[in-house]
Amino acid sequence: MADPGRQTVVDVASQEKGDQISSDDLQFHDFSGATLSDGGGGLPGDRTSRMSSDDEPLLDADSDQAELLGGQKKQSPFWTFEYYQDFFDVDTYQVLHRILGSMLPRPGKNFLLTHVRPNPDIYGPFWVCLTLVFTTAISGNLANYFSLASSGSEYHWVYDFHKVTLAAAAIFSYAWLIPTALWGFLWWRNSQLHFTFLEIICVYGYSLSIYVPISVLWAIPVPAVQWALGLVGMLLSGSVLVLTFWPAVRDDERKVTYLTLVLIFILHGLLAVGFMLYFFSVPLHGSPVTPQPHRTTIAPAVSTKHI
Amino acid sequence: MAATSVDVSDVTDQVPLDVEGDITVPGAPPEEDEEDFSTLDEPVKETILRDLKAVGKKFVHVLNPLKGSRSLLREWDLWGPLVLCVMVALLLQGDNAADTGAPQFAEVFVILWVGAVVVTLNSQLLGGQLSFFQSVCVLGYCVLPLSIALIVCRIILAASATQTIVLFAIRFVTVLLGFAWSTFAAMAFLGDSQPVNRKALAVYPIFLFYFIISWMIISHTHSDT
Repeated sequence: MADPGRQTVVDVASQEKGDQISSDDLQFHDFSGATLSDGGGGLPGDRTSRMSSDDEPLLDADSDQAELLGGQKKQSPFWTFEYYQDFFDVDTYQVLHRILGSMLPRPGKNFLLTHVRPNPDIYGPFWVCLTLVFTTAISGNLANYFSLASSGSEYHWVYDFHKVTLAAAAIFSYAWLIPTALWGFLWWRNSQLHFTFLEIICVYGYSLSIYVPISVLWAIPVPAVQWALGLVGMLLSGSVLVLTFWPAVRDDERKVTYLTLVLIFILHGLLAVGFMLYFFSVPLHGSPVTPQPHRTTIAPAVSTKHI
Repeated sequence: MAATSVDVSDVTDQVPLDVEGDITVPGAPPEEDEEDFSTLDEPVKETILRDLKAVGKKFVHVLNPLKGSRSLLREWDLWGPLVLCVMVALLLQGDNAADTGAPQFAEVFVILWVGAVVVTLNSQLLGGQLSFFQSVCVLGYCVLPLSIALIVCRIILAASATQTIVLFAIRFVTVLLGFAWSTFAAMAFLGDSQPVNRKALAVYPIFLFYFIISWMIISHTHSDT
């Protein structure tokens, strides 16, 4: 019962002290020592399974308790390095597990509750977004090259590096602004599930991971294939998002619930459509449009005709 | 307390007040330390040559990562990365208004430095054991194989005005070799600093960093005149 590391001085003369020490032994001190240890190698599996099995009754009965237990993990003040290390406390298998879970919707299981809690991370969202930025830019350049090469034009093709900056702006704004809006909305509507801001960012970041292989395949210059890929990506990860946030809004009015879920789905799809139209020049109609080179070397010829 | 009284004045008269002496660490050579630290008096040429030799030694270590000594990690410096980064950015920048698609000098420079810093921060946040500057130093030095590939590509581009598929294939293979060499060298130096269950999480950003640099190198072509 007594912790061998702690030295307790028992003064036999004072009865009050004895009572105090016995009540100290019953408090949570030992438990907090176990959760704060960062020997992350052996323990995360145990910790995750213990926390997730405790989570369901805790959520319904006493959400304060869940907040307290979750809060005990992050005790460093925000200006120390250790505070930020808590956001990267994941192992390789966990990251892979989360990526797979974000791509495959499973109606019974909530992605956030099973995979992300109690350990949301920033590693996944950040590196998935950055990878997506570069695969989009690289594939976009490749698609542009294929379309120009196949049309037999005589332009000397040069790549456009500025697709990178544009893709970065689009993807990082999506991955950051939408979760902020959603979190604010859920807080305003007093959602009972208390998704934290970090958890929502984590879910959205991982939900973009399906677009990484899809953006590589979008370089194939066949419009039907490109639209099919976009549809598949949108459906799969959009439905994971909807299934994740359904429990958070289902207690609200019917109209609000459906509107929120439809909006989440549509915004996710708009991102895919935006990529297709801008980076990959997928034609909206049946026939392929004449591909546009990056530079306007043909402009002088056109302007003389107008005169 | 005991009842015996001690006459304090007797004690202070008898103790000799001799507090002179040397504070030395037993076993360390005392005289050579002074010579190592006072490099203010040496000629400037010697100072520069010493730094150049250190940088050159690290370049050789990067090119032969298997004969790995850890001196690259212990005595880090950022001269080598700076020289490489400036050279790569100068070679990759777009020439003038005719080449609007190519990156600017500042863009390449920022990608290289900010990229190295972000990869280092990532490995530190995951719980790595290396210090910040050691990691940035290693990542910067391991750009050397890719910058050699860039120079070779530039030579190939300058050699003939028309670019055939064969020349493109040669450039592609050169850049691929440079990428593999850089990644392998960086992993040889940085690989052991992470716990095993997170090694892939720390290696992937290194891979992405050199992949992006390789893409910028292979995509670099002449501007149309």
